[in-house]
Amino acid sequence: MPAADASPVLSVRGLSAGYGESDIIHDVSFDVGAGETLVIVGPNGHGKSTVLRAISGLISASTGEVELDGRRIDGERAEVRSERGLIHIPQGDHLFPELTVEENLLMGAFPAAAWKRRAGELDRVYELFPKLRERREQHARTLSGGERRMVAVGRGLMRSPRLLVIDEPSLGLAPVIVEAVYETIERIAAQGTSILLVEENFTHIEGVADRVCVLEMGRIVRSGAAAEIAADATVAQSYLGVLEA
Amino acid sequence: MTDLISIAVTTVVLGSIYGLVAIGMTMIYGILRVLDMSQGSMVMVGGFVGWGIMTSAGWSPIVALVAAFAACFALGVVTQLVSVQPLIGRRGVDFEMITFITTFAVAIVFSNVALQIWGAGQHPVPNIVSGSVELYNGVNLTYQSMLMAGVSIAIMIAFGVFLTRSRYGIAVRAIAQDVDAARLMGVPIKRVFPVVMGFASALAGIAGVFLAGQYFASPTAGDQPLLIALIVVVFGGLGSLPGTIVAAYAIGLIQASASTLIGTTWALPILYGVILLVLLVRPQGLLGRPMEARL
Repeated sequence: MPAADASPVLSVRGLSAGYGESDIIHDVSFDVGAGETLVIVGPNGHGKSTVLRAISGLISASTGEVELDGRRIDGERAEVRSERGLIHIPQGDHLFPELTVEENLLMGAFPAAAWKRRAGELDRVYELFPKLRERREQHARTLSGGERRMVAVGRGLMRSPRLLVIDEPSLGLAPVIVEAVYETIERIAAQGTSILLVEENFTHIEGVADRVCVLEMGRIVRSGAAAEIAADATVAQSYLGVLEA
Repeated sequence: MTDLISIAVTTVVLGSIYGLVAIGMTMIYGILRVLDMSQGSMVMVGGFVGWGIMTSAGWSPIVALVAAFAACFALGVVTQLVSVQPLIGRRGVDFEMITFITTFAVAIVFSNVALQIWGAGQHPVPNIVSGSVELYNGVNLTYQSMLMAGVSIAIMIAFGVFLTRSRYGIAVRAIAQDVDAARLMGVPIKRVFPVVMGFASALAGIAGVFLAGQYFASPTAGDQPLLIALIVVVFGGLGSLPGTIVAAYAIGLIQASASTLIGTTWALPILYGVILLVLLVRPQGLLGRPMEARL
């Protein structure tokens, strides 16, 4: 838990949000410290993606505050939040299928300030994902699922994020590929980027999570250091599965 | 040999001008999913700008080309804001069908305004350059055709460079593929859409100046080019830029071969026969990819 005493990069207080009339998440509060990786764990359909969408501004919250680097962002549009460095990598990657790998990455640097630094950022991403350098001229639609996820993450890194928000990085990938994706997330975290990600269970996150929140029925029911939460008997039963029992 | 050279020359000239007229239409369809029926009007307006500046005012052709570009850019932006932008994202609307009609409505307004101002007559527009050169044993190429082909090819190349190298060029292609993802990247799509239609219309306007030199400036001067552009765009594969350019030259080649080898009267029946056959085998067009409706 590095830098727990420093002021948090992201601070969420009393956040409620949903679609239409009813809220899906209720009174959600947590902080992500500088350089920290926070994982929200919980069953599907209990509001994990909704938390991320409300934070990045893809949906508007009904109540609550969201601060990035000590500055309120909950009233701002998604594009503005993304320009402030809050990068949301949604489920399903949303790559541009007919653009090459490199063009997809360059789109991550679309804002004028990031565009000026694009050459250096490209190098950094290629260092992280050497496979993408080999495939730079290939159309995104010809990539495997794991390579696509790498492009999606790399595209997020192109504008030097303050906070990388990743929605279920393991979704739909073969276990071996998930390992590779998480190894990269570990390396990104090691370089000091703050990360907020959600997963259905503990299977993959133990190497990366500093702290864990458990989200059930739209509420955070437990939170604490990753090891502490994993050691909890009730949590273990629900989210660790037979492998860890 | 004479036939071959004659066919080659005609193919390049026809294909280039078809490409110039159709490329904007493809771009608008690829990015906005609008089959823009006002593109013919832009050719017509370009012709009248050419007539007004070169014939009436007696100014240089360069001024005419620049003025046609500017006027049609502005008209394209206005057309987009009036007939397309208000329909984007509206629920329960068949966007492609409705915009097909709304842009057609704008086209009718434009040609009738032209009819009111300039009358139904055909206004002669001078060629930008005069004279011709004998390439080979009776095969003549006018300098106007040469310039027309050269400018068209230069514009298409410049356009290709813009789309693959520049920040907004890549963004424009990204929008064509996934609007939501482009928005997440921070691309200001509501500002890009009118610019795209303005730019496409400007290219049609330039084509209009050249075509008016070959034919006339008149309120109906855009009808034939619109039809050709539609055919080129569908034949190449809706929304595919490379497909459009291939289709433009393919159509030029079929037309040139048929008229040189068989006879001018057979050119169009043979051309449309080939197009019909190709589309029956490949309904998505030469380089098109089947895709879903989007906006």
